Amino acid sequence: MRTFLAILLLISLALLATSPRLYRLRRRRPVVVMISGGWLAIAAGVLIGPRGAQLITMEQINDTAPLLMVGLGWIGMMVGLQLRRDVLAALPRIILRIACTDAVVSTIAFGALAWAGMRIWSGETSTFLLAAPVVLLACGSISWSMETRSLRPGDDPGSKHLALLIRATGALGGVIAVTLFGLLDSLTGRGEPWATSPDVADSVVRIMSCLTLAVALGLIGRWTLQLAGRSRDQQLVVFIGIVAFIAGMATQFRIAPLFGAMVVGMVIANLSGGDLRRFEQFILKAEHVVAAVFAMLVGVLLSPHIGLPGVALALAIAAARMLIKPALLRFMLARSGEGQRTNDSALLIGPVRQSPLALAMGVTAYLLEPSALSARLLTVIVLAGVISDCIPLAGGLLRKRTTLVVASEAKLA
Amino acid sequence: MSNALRLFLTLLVLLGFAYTGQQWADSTALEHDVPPASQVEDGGPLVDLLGMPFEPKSDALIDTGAGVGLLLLGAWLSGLLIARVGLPQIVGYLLFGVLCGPSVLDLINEQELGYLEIVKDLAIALIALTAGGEMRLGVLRKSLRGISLIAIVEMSVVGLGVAAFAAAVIPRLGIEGLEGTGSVIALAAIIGTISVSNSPAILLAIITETKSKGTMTQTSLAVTILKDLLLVILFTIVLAIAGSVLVTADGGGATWYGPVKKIGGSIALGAVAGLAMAWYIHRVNKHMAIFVVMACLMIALTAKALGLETLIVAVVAGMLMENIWSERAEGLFETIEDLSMPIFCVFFAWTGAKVELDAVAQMWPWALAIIGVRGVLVWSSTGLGARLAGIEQPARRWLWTAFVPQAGVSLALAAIFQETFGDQPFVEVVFALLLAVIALQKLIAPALLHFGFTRAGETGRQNLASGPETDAAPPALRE
Repeated sequence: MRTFLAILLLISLALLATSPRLYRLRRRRPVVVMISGGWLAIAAGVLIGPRGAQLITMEQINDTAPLLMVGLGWIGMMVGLQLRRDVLAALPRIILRIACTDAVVSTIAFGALAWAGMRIWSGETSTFLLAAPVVLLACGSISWSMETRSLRPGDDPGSKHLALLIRATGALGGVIAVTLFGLLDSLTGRGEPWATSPDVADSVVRIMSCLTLAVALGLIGRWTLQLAGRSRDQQLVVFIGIVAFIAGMATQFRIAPLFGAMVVGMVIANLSGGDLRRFEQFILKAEHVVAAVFAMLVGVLLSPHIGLPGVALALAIAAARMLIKPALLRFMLARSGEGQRTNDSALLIGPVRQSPLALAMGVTAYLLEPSALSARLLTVIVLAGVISDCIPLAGGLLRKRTTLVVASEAKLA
Repeated sequence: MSNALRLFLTLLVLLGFAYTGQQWADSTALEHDVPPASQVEDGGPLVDLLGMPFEPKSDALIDTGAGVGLLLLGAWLSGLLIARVGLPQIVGYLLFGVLCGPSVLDLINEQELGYLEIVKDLAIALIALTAGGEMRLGVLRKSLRGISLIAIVEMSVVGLGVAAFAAAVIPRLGIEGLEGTGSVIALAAIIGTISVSNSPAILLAIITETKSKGTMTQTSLAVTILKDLLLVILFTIVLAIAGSVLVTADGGGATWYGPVKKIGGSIALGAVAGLAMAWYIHRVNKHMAIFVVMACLMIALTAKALGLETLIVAVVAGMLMENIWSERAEGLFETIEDLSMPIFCVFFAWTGAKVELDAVAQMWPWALAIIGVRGVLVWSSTGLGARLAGIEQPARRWLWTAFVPQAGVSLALAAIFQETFGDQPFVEVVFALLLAVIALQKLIAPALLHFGFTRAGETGRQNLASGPETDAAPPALRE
């Protein structure tokens, strides 16, 4: 009963968060950032969670593991469904280049930063034991937020093009991040507290099993979608059935459910026709509520006991994002000759903001290994995300102030 | 490749993956059951990188996620496959559950079935809400006499007849320590009372699947609901009397005021739930699917916590919605229809997985005998009741098929019996007999009911063929 009340509370708050009244507040820029980043829902989760009013306890959250799993599967499936061959083929080369370069640079730079940070924090020197947190933090740093509305881009075609570029690279980068996380994390021995060294053969077998299952389920999904036709109840059976099965089986194989579900989504997206459109519409209908519930669960899982080293690590990640991401985007745009098309500084700082998929990866890590370390790493990711989201906001305020000063000086002159 | 073959192969693939996954999880769990000493500090618990205690996750809970997916997809595909041989889809759901359950492949174990109990609660509330939505007070008021007549005749004949037969069977079961005629009669009365119940879930699932409408549909639903109300009273009385003859687990008998509290409380809670749901639909009317699931869970869990009857609570809520705010409730019932298939799939597969084949194997000759006697009694008493109530043919001839299936309600009553009499020597044998009777009827009766609706000419296809649908009350209900 208590677990159900916890779920009821989460869903009621999620419905409230997605209500039109709150939506109207989105005209204000900070509110857009807070809502679209999920920070408001996360804050609500903290308030009702074990560190707040204790309306939801950790025990109840552990009892709702299947729900978390289905949530992660849902997110993974949504990511995978975007990966249609025709869409990918139509993408300009620059998008692929930026996303891949960002993935390589981020994995190396943030991996090194996370390794150093975790070494100082835990005092551990074994590379294998440090691997799981390092993979999580590095993969969480790949890509950036796909939301550009809060950046208030200009109306000129150049700005519009850049906003589109940021969204597309963010989406593609997210796919690369989930893939890398799914593959690398399986090598780290997460969920095996007894392991002291990597078992590569075991990891390969697990990955191959998960991939085989995902492809088979994708094929089954494509066919069962045809069987379900226009019937909404049968579509629901297919969708929940596939998402729950792949997420549960991937977790059994100790592979990120996010990754498994993404592969299924990808197979379905590339094999289905008209049935897929109906299926997508169906999934998208509940997108906001699922995202809000998920963000609140993240809030419930957060641990305040990260201490100075944890805060420093989050700050370091945010600072590194500020240094690396905009520079990388500018560099890639300049190299491809796209740099001349726009110089919208508000948009160019956009990639500083963390991808929301980082939170999903943090929750995956917690699900595979529900330990204090996983909760603390999730807190570091959330903190780094909040700080990185505040940077463009502060930049915007600063720019506004400068513009006002310049305007008043011009007036005086 | 034919669709049937494809369905079969897909099912095999799903089962194959689930089996491999389970074997994998079991082998790694066995391999690493005891962590190496180097990881354990001074015999203490495992610690994570930051020196915090570490508790590996519960495998059963993780397996439950995959279990839901397997039951959902597998049951649906099995239903489609079984429909190709002319049987109702829920037979497919049940058989898939039996296959995956602890008795056969053990892909879903007892612990996981325990976690999935919430689906059962949800399904019962949803089914009862739909049944309540089918009850139009105007029609019911006019037909109360007819419905009561059928219910009372059927309950009396079946209850007494099966009890008499059970009284003859019990001494032959070789139960040790069961002395005196009083004890035999008490046990026979309990078996007789449980045999009176029939499954509203199976009835509603078949009605939904066949899109049945007409005299038999409405009468069978109304009688089933009324029987359930009366059964609560009857079972509590029988249990109280039996408790004074047989020794109960806590040494005392059941109370006489129990049924009044249970029924009164259930009706009151149902009214509150109905009002709250009507308020939501009137004021908010959004995210209906989430709302329906949450409302049904709320009804089921609150009723459980207060010791009330979920079925009555949800029926009252559904009746209120349909009869007082019918226009507003339209969207609600449409949403319930959308949700019913996934919930039916998991619920009936779960019910199938709960079938204890050991009990069936042990008790099947006696169980078949009881089923036979019960079947004959249900057929004759329903026919008599329907004739007295003035139900016309062909509904009168086939109405009895609606009261044969037994599932959740009967299992719940059997569980109460087991709980009440605890470790008494007769409990194990009688409980196994009850489980065998219910399990066999659960698997056989849906096909019979499907056949009954078809022969009564009330399935959706037949209604379409015979002209535009009419929502007229059955003759017995018109008066």
